[in-house]
Amino acid sequence: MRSAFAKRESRSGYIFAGPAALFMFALVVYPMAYGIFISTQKTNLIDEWEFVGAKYYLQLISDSEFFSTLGTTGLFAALVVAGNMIIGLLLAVIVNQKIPLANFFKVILMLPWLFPETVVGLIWKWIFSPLFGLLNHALMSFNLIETETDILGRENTAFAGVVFVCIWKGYPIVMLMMMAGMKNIPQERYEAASIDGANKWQQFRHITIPGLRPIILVAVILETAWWFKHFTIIWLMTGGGPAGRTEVVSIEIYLQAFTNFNFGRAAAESVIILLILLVASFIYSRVLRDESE
Amino acid sequence: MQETRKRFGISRKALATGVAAALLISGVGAVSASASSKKPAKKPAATKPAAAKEIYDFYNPKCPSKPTTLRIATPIILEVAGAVEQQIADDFMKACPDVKVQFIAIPSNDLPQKLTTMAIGGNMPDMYVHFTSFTGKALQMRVFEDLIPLLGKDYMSGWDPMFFEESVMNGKMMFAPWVGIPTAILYRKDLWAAAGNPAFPKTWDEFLAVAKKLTVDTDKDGKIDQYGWAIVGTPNGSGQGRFSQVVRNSGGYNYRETDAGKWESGAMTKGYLDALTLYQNAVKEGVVPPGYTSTGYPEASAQIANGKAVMMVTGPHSMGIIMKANPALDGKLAGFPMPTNNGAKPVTTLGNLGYAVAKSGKNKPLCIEYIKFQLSTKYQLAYNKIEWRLPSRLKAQKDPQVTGGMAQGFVDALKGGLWTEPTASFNGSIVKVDYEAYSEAFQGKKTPEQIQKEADAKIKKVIADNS
Amino acid sequence: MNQSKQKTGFMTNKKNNQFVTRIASYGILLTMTFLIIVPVLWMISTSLKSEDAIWDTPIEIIPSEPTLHNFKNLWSTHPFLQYLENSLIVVCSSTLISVAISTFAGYGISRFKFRGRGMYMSFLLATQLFPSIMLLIPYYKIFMTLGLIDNITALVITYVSFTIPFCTWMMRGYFAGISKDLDQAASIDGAGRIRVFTSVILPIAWPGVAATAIYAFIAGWNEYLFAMAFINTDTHKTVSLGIGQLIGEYRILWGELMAGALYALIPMAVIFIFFNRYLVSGLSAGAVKE
Repeated sequence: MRSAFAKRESRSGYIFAGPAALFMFALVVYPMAYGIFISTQKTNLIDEWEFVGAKYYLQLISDSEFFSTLGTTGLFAALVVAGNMIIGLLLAVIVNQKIPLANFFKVILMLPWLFPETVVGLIWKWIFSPLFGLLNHALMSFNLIETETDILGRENTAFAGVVFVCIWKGYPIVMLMMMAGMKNIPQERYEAASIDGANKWQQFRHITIPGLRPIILVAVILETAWWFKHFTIIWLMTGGGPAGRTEVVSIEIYLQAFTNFNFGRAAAESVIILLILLVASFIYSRVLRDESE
Repeated sequence: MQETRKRFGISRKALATGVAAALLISGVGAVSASASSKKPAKKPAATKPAAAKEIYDFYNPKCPSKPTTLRIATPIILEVAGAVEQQIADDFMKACPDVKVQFIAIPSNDLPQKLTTMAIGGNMPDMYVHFTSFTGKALQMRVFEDLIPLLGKDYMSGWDPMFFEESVMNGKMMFAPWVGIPTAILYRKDLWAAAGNPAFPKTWDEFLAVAKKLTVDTDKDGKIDQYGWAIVGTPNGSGQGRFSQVVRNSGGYNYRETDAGKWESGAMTKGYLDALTLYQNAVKEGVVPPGYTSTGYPEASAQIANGKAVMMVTGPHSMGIIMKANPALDGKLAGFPMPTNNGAKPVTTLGNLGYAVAKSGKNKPLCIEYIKFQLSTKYQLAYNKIEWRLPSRLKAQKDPQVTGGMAQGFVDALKGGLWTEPTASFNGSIVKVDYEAYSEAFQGKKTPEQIQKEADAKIKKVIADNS
Repeated sequence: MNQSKQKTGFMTNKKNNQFVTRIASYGILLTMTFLIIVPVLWMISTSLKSEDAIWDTPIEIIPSEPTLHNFKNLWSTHPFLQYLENSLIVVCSSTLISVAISTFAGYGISRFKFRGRGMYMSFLLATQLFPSIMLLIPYYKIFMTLGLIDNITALVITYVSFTIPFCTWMMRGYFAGISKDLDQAASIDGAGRIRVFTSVILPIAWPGVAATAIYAFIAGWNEYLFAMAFINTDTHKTVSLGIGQLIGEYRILWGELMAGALYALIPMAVIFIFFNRYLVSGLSAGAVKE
């Protein structure tokens, strides 16, 4: 009996999960295998193929600049993900309260998500622009600064500026995920807690957060993957500058592949990122799962 | 200059002697005459100078017998000169109704990646726009067809030798030079006059002094509102290209190929140091508008257009773009050759571009017809008119429209001589070292000497990684 | 202790707390609204300026001579309507396919124990961990083989592959929040697995599906890199390609760029507002009892 049930269970599982698996298998496994393959080749991908083994990996491991790029990327991703999670969760909780105008704010708060990354990157670059930008103009008309300041051109502000813009663009999706997740937390729990005298913060800690744990896990893992690999906004805003201060690993890969034609090295860098992110998501899922059990 | 001369030397040797002779002879009377005459020893004694004559003022194309689509990948179509490119295509389609010219419009930022992807996917268009910056890649990918046999040797003699030379690598013509943009200092004549017409700077120190003179508070509100130099300081090719111009015009270089065929770093040259120092001082002295590190080409030309800045290191095409933004500047723009340091001769780049024919294409004869049509004097002048780019063909160059007026200074800049970026496959990495170096100089925390040392180490590492 | 006194103290405290929470909530909402609205208004302002007014200093916050030139010019110089149509076809198809496949998969993973389930999730995740720039060339080769270059079908397939992992994860998380008792109750009534799913679970999961669909829609709508690589002909271009064309080497047509971004926003905003209403109405239906 048991095994028959298990069999039926497992067949249903395959029926439901099969189509996605087939689709992804066809479109992702080949490209990834291809990537891993070319990471061992010195190649122009057309008619020049030379097996070089682990040469590019060894080059990368001994390259302090690559590590500093990884460091920048890690810091960037950590800040953006943390920012997105905190702001996204906070705003989801706020608009989920039954307060007047909640729906209006919900729509406004989602706006940044609707704009293409190219437009977001450019519009903020334009706002930050020292001569033609809104920000400097505003700061100067309120006499907060004397002369124009070049936010994206200074080492200490460029990184912060880029992180800010990426959070601006990125938090709505977290907020949406949290909102969707919160709809699954039974309202009765809050009512019961409220009767027991729990305040908003206690309710948040003891009902909302545990109820959202699965979706938070998903959000953190995917957000980390996305922002660790992020390219467009930084590329458009600073191109990796000033003096390499905002150079993340995707920019390095792009330059290696399409301006240097060093596909082997670019692929090796990609594989390293894949490994880093695999380890990171493994750790995340362990930590978050352990907590919930 | 040495390495470029050497490179041309090799390629020239590799050329069929007849071609070489023809092109050298045709140099006589060209705007670039003095540039090509820097190697008089190589000049063959005498043949008919009449070879310089343009064959086609207007070329009537031979049309194919069956309907054909010609696919051309181009970023030009999206820029100011796109109107001319479209006009040529329309006229061609009128001349050959069976032909459909289809432009694949690619924003120039995406051109390298799109072309690479197409080449690797085995789906190259019939033709694509080749910039000199693309040379290294094209060589590595081997995607182009040699145009010398296709166009015929006679046709070669119609090109200005400087344009011609730059398009030929290892004896093969990679693209059909169309127009060029010799770099010089573009300036606003009206603002120059307002500062009492200072003498044109001959050295970079003088340049900085003039820039300082041009940095003024025009409306006397206690705040500087006009700066001397619209520096392009973005970390990309457009900033690096200009930095390189300063390095070269200070007698330095970033890297080059030695006689032994090895690459060597030039970051420790005096010229490289001088360029870094100039960039750092320009910021310290406040002669560049704020936001220099994020000022790209579009921003810098806008600064010239609205009078926020007076000078810019750029080519004549900028006049077209600036006037598009501010038509009132007609006649108020001009150029003068680059200042130099360390006794270097003023040199410039040609910024040559043109159509390349893809090796994999199936319509090569038609491509050739199209190229000849497109290079007709009529269209050379049409391009020149809209963007002041210098035509590549000798006949068109002689037209008063080209040399006269606002473009004069840029044409003069060619007299000093020419240099081309080295074409190592890892050129992109060196470009990056350069732009990181001047970005550091802007930050002002390190001395130019420190930055120079770091750049040198990085360049050496790039070379080592790629050998 | 006096119990009633403690209770009243607690009540006022609670009221105060609620008041403070309200103030703080609105404070945060207004700050965020400001940060979002200013760039959007600046986009609108820029789109209404002429080319030389854009580069004017000091800058004009509200255009003194507003013009619709950019909006008109975009329609006349580019087949923008065609771009919009292409985008709608591509994105609606990819959203539909992706959401259907992922909803199924998400349900399957959340409900059934089958061999390789853990691996399956890791696999879906792993597909998100490889830098997409390196996927460009293999994808191009695949579509070249299939003869789909310069065909919007290639974009549909690409966007489905990009959005399936996230959508599946999201739906799984959502289904995990729905009590399994519901499935079991329906099963006992004799309904088959698929029927349980379509007639009992799916209706409650509507908010999750809507959110997932919006995600898939937006991801496809704004994608640029792959569209740039696969599409050649002007009449096959999507809106985001059309906008990207305005970023030139020598000049950025700010006015037209912003006008284009605003055009592109319209269909998305309409769809978003439409779905958002479902999200809200789904709230009551989604409150599932344990």
